[in-house]
Amino acid sequence: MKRCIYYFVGIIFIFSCQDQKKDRLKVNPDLRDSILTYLKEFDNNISKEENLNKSFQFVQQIENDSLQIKYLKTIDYRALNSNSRYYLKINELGRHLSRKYADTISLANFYWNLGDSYLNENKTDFAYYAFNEAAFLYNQKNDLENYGQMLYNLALIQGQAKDFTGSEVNLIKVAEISKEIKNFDLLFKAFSLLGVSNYNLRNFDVALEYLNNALQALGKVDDPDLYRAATFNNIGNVHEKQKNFELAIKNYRKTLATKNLYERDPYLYAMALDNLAYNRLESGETQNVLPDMQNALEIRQNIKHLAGISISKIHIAEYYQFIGNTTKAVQFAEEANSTAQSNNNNRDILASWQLLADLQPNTSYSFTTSYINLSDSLQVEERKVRNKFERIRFETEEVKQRAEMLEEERTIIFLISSLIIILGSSVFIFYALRSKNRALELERDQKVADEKIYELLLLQSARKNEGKREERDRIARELHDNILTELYANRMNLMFYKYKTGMKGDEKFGQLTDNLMDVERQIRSLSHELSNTYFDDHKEFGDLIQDLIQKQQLERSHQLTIDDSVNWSLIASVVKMHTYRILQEAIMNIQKHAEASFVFIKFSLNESAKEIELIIKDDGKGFNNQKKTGHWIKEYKI
Amino acid sequence: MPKYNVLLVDDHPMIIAGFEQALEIIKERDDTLKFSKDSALNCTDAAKKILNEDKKYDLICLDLSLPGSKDGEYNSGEDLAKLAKKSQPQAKLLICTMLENNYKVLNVLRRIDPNGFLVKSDTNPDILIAAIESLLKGQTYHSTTLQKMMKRTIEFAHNINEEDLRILYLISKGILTKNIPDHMDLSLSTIEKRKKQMKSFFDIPNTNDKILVEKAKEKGFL
Repeated sequence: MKRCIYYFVGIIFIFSCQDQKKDRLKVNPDLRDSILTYLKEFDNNISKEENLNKSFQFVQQIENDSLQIKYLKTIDYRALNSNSRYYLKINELGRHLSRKYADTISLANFYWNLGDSYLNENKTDFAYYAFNEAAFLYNQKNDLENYGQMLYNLALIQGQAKDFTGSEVNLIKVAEISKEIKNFDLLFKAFSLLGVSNYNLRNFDVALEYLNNALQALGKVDDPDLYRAATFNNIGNVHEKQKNFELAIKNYRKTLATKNLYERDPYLYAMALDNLAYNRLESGETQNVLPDMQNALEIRQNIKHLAGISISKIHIAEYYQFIGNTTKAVQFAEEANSTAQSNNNNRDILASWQLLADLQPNTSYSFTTSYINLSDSLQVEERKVRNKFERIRFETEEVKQRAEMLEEERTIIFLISSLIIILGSSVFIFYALRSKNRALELERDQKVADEKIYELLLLQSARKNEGKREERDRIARELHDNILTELYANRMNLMFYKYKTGMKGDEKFGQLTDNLMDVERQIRSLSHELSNTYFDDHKEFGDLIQDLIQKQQLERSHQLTIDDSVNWSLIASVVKMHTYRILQEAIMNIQKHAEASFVFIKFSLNESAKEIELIIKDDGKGFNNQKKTGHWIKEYKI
Repeated sequence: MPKYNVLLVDDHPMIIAGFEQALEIIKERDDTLKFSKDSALNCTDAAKKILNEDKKYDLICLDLSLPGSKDGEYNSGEDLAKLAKKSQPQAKLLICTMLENNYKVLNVLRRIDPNGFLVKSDTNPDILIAAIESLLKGQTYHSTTLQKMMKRTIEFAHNINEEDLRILYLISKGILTKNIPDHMDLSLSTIEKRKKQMKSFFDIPNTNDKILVEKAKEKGFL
């Protein structure tokens, strides 16, 4: 029965869940249509901002949180890609709702997009914060793929901020994760970035190792050409720094040998071309160096790659320095410097200043001072950024710890509350059992008391009968011993008187003495009857039954036949008591419900089976045994 | 001219007077007879007279229910009859009782075997006189009730012994079978066996004691 209830509850639960789902799908078809319309127009590049804003307003009207989150994700993605000014609003609402709805994956997704958005705006510390949150959430949800991606993003930001050590830590994690989940693309990226980081840390051998690892990882990547080309370029960079210009040139050539590289990635093409030319210059070759460098610069100018332009110009300036054309060299160095400054490209500012200082020994002091100032401030800046990252990471750790503490607290609360519940329920069960026991005890006591009462009743009846019999015996004895003897003596004497006086003929006298004899006989038989009625008397229980029937006035209302052939004195009083109770109940039922006019009651003793058979019959309407199992029918089956 | 010593024992003087009248009537009929009459109203007096060796009684008339002696030795006419059988063996015994209880009467008959037995309700002067005369002649006399009783019990008389009678009597008094050993010197199993035997004698099913008692009454044992 209980199990049925559980099932029932379960089924209700399932149904209610389904209902909710249906509700979600049902909600606001009009609203949905209008949102979709605006999004379609957005997708077709028709007044993007306006349509995005309108659809955002409609999405805000959706009442169902989870549905709203779903739509918010859609427009959040579009807003991110179109650099919308509504982006932050949309993202904030999305995060708010996902947090409220405890939708961790969506929240992480929103953070990811937020990080991308900040990255677009070059706010690296904000981006770092957002990616860190996303990484934390993905890790919490055990979503390794995205967790690795986020760690990679973090490492990327750290690398850009020259926090190479922090970057390396994250990247090694990424490498482990991507190996585990067999994401070789990510693995390549991680190794590649590790190589670049170590390159920047000037651990060139380690950098080479990582880059070679990256090349190996490419073996399982679908379209590895560009990746491979970039890696060769990076390897070339490392060799360049190690002054292994031959090897560097070899690798740059490998990069440039990539099919259609110019069409597919002009950045890389220009970079490799420029690097190749520069290395050839370094290794003492000058043939075709300037045309290649100018070619690369041209490409970079075409694609507006500012950092590339400044480095190209520095390389050209170095070329001119090499061939002794200082004027040209200074000209290109100054151009590089202004390009770098417009671009905030500190690396190239520094490089150009250094070059200018070399080229113009007279004014080298001012360049050197600027160089030192800038590099100092850069170092401070870098340290600040690193500290910021540390702080963000620390805060996240703290949040994590707090979450763990909360988790612990929750566990403790759960344990304590379940303990309390268990204790409470056991106390309840204990009390329920005890009260049940008490009820049973009371019932038993009641039974015992009933039996006692019955025994007392029997005893009372027996005493009454004893008294009756004693009195009867006394009367019988008195009649017999005194009155009868007296009568006899008188009669005898009368008869002798008649004898003596010889009144033989007097009929009347004889008749009188005969009458006296008759009286004697009557008194004697009376006396006998009085004293010899033991067996008729000895039916105390029978008397009780008679009393009961008289009390209930059954004889008045019904034609009654009683057949009692049981010697009740041999029956245990408990049995008699139950028999009495059953009879009582039955008589009451007959009177109340049966509408009978004849009642037949029979007691008989089955000595072999040690049973008393009690038959109570009436000609009433009877009762349906199956319809209701009445209390008294159960009572009958003692 | 025979002379008879007669002892009359009854707690009612009127009854003794009746006996005396009867004796006088006998004497009137036959002048040759002489009676010397003694009487006692209780066991004490009666016993004293019976024990008196100087006087030999020819006839002792005894009531059965009598006030007992003070020392508790003699409580009924039956005790006196036993005593008389011992110390006055020549005397003829005439029991004259009001009792009609078959059991007691039969017991007295069995134990004492008196020469005459009268049930008072049967008695009238003629019977009384006839009884005395019969006894004096050396004959026995039993009044009609007694004759009927003996006739009824004759069928089972040799099967039912004194102990059986006692058992029947106790049962009829409402004493439970299991308590009978308290009243007589028999074990419960013996009593059960006897009861069973009696039931088979009377040819009644081994069920109710009530039926046994009724049957015993019918057959004159109670």
